[in-house]
Amino acid sequence: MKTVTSSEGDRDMTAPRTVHCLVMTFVMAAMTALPAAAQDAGTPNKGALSDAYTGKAYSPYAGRDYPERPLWGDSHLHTALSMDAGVFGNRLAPREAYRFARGEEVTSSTGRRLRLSRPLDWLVIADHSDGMGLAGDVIAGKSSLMAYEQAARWHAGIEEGGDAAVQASLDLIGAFSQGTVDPEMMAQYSPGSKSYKNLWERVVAEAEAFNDPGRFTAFIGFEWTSLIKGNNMHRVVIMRDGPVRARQVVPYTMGAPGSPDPRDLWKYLTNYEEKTGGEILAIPHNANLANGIMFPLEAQWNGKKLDETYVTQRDKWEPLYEATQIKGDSEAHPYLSPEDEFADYGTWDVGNLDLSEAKTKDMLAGEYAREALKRGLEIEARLGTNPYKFGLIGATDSHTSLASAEEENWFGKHAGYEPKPDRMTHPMFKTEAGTIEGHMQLASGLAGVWARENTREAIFDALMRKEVYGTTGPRMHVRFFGGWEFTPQDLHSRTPAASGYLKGAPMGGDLRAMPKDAKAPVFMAYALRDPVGANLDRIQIVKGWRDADGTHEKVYDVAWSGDRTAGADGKLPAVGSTVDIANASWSNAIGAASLGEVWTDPDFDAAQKAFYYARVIEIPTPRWTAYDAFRFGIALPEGVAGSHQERAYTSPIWYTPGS
Amino acid sequence: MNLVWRLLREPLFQFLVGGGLLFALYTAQSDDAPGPANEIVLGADRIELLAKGFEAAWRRPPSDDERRALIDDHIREEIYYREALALGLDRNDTIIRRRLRQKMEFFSDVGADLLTPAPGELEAHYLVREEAFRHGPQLAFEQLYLGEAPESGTIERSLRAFQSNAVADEEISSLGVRTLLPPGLGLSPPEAVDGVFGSGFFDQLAELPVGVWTGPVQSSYGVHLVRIVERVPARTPPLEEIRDAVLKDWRVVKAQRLRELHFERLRERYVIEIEGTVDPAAGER
Repeated sequence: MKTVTSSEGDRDMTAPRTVHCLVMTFVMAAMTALPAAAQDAGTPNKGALSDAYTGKAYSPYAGRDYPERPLWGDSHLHTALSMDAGVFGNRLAPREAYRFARGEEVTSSTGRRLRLSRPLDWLVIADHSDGMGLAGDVIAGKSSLMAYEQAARWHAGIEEGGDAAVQASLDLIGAFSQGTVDPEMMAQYSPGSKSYKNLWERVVAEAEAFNDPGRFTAFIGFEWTSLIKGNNMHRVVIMRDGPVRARQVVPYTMGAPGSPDPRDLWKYLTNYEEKTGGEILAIPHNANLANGIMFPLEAQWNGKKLDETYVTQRDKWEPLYEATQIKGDSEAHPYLSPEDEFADYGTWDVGNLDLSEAKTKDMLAGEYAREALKRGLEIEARLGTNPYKFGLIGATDSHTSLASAEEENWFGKHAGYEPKPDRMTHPMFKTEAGTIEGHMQLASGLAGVWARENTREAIFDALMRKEVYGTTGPRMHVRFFGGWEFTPQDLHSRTPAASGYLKGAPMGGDLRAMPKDAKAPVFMAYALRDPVGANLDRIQIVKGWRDADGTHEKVYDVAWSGDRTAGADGKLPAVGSTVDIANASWSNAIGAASLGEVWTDPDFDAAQKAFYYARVIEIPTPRWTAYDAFRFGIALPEGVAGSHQERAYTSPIWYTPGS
Repeated sequence: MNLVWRLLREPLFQFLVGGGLLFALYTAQSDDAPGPANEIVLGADRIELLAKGFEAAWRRPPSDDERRALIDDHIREEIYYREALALGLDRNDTIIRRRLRQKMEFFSDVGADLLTPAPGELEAHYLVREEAFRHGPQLAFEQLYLGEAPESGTIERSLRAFQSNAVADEEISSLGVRTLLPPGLGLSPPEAVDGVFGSGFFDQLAELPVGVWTGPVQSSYGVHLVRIVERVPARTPPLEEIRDAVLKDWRVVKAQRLRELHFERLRERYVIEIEGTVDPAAGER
């Protein structure tokens, strides 16, 4: 395995010369081959081609039919309309959320001015469908609500402010997650009521007002907040469509007339498409707080066995999984992946969503993306369809209306965790089952979408085909292609992506049928650091496969910075660290600005189902906790991590024997 | 000045009437009919509301005894409430003050949504706020990466080679350093260009000629030569194209102004004296 970094390329000017000759020859070949293959205009003869491409007048960039840059977005943001967000003090309506996302300066709920360092390209406001708008009315003390003992009590608590407000908020969330909110009161904030319909129309109109095709995409969506005794089964629902279709329905809820069963959600999604002719999808998140019920192997949450309907429906409606966000990272868990030294990142394994039940080790396998991808292979062998054939993205799940995932510009889970000196040490949840401390929050995540245009249609279609990746906040560019014929020249050309699409499948796809003379799949993975961010430590390819003994996984280091070589244990030494926690700073003195490799699976067995995804790891940088400590002039509390290695996860590419 | 006032007077009226109307409705809904100060009248509606509240909490209607207890408790509350008001206990209570302020602000906000522009007003707003509706410039370009810190000789040699049309392929291939950056971008706004090449890259390209290789240009990865393929200048779409967005913006701006105006009107009724060195008006304008 070879390390490729641009900084090394700079220093060594002699070697690339010969490579460049080869590269240019190849580029020319690719240039002429690409349009012919990509279009349906017959096969041009040689004469026509040489007329068309007159040397340097030819621009390989005009009319290229693949995406040039990832479109950055947050697929999961809450505003004041979400019950819990409102209760925790969020006063910002969708309007402010859109304005902030597209790069404008806004004032947070706690009165601080802020803006993003760089705007987002798209946003999904996904407010909780259950009780949408309720919090705002409780806070305003709407008279028709005050007749309810719960509403009156919460209202009084919130009015009182301080700890009483926090307690009222926790009570409300608790009542909601345990299903003990007064049903009569809930009915006013549920599908079927006129006020609910009105509210939804406002949500739709607001998205429409900010949707600006080509510049900024505002999706219409909501969050279906299924909880089974505090075990998280949440899904974000996103529509491809505009108001004409979206207005024909109202969001689906967990409470009556909805249901907490994902199968009922899928019926709603089916009904949406049949009724409106539109398109819709669902993205689960926070399996790490599901206490084992998010990715079942044998039986569903209610004990019923997985069946054909379940696996085909899930495969159909849930093309993605949100693997990283503020409430922890659920790509991998150290208990499930003991060989993976990077698995313990943002681990939240204390209990379920409201900490009403503590976590036990046997639950973990139903909670982490990598294990689910493996389980999918297992279930596919049994039932014929892989229900967990999902791509990976990151999103914030921020409840502040502020889609902030940057460590040095981070505004917390909800309004109560906007910047202040004690937000690290103030527990988020505390029950007999355990404690989630404030400092455990992750300033994560973000989704990069390889779509050609910034429109609802183009981005939605990219989400459906899983041509997306998640990061824990930074905007590194990551490409990942799988095929049978990639060569190092493909990577060394000026347009590796052109070869990537021409000769293989991009992230989220399936390997093409194995050619007769092929021995193993070849992957082209490359990454550029965030242009204003930290250098890269390494690119890894994570493989999962299934054989007669069950499923397995292995993490391969495929490209890395510097002159490191793997030790006796097969592990690459750590990249080191330049982080100065006391001053919340770091430098790009280590790592590489870009990394890339063409990698052949050395352990391939053509008879085994497998998946491959790339994980790109940054050099260590300060966490938000270090910025807090520095800016507030306080010491980092004991046991609080001040630095970390941020990362990106691509959607997998699957291999199926005989396909 | 006069024009502004005339324009404002009408909507402010709407704004206050809208809010006031809601306030009246709200009051009618939440309180019993007012009577003489020493008389408490409990309407059937109010009793029904009390019973409903009980039912919501206990999942059954109250028994007769419980109903009586509810009424007694309500009367007790009402009497305490009135006596407290008479004693002035509502004054200087932070919670009550904040709640009342919130109610006032809430009603002025609701009033704002009812505003519609007078004829010509939207057009005027569009002209005044043109900047806010502008679509930024866009660029399409190709780039050649020369490394983090190339020698000046390399830059000149590369530029010459690119600018002369009779350059052999081998010569081009000897130029530049391998990079995973895209070799160019299609028509893209500044945020997109800077999102790939780092802050300030777009600005450096803004003045470069179209169609020829020029440079050097500095990105966050190093030094580049670029050729601008196409340039679309900033443009403000005609009002008809973006009427909804302008209306929305008009409402926001208008509501802010009216809210302030409303507050100033109220404030005019007061003589404010602040002891010490703080100038009361200093922070306001």
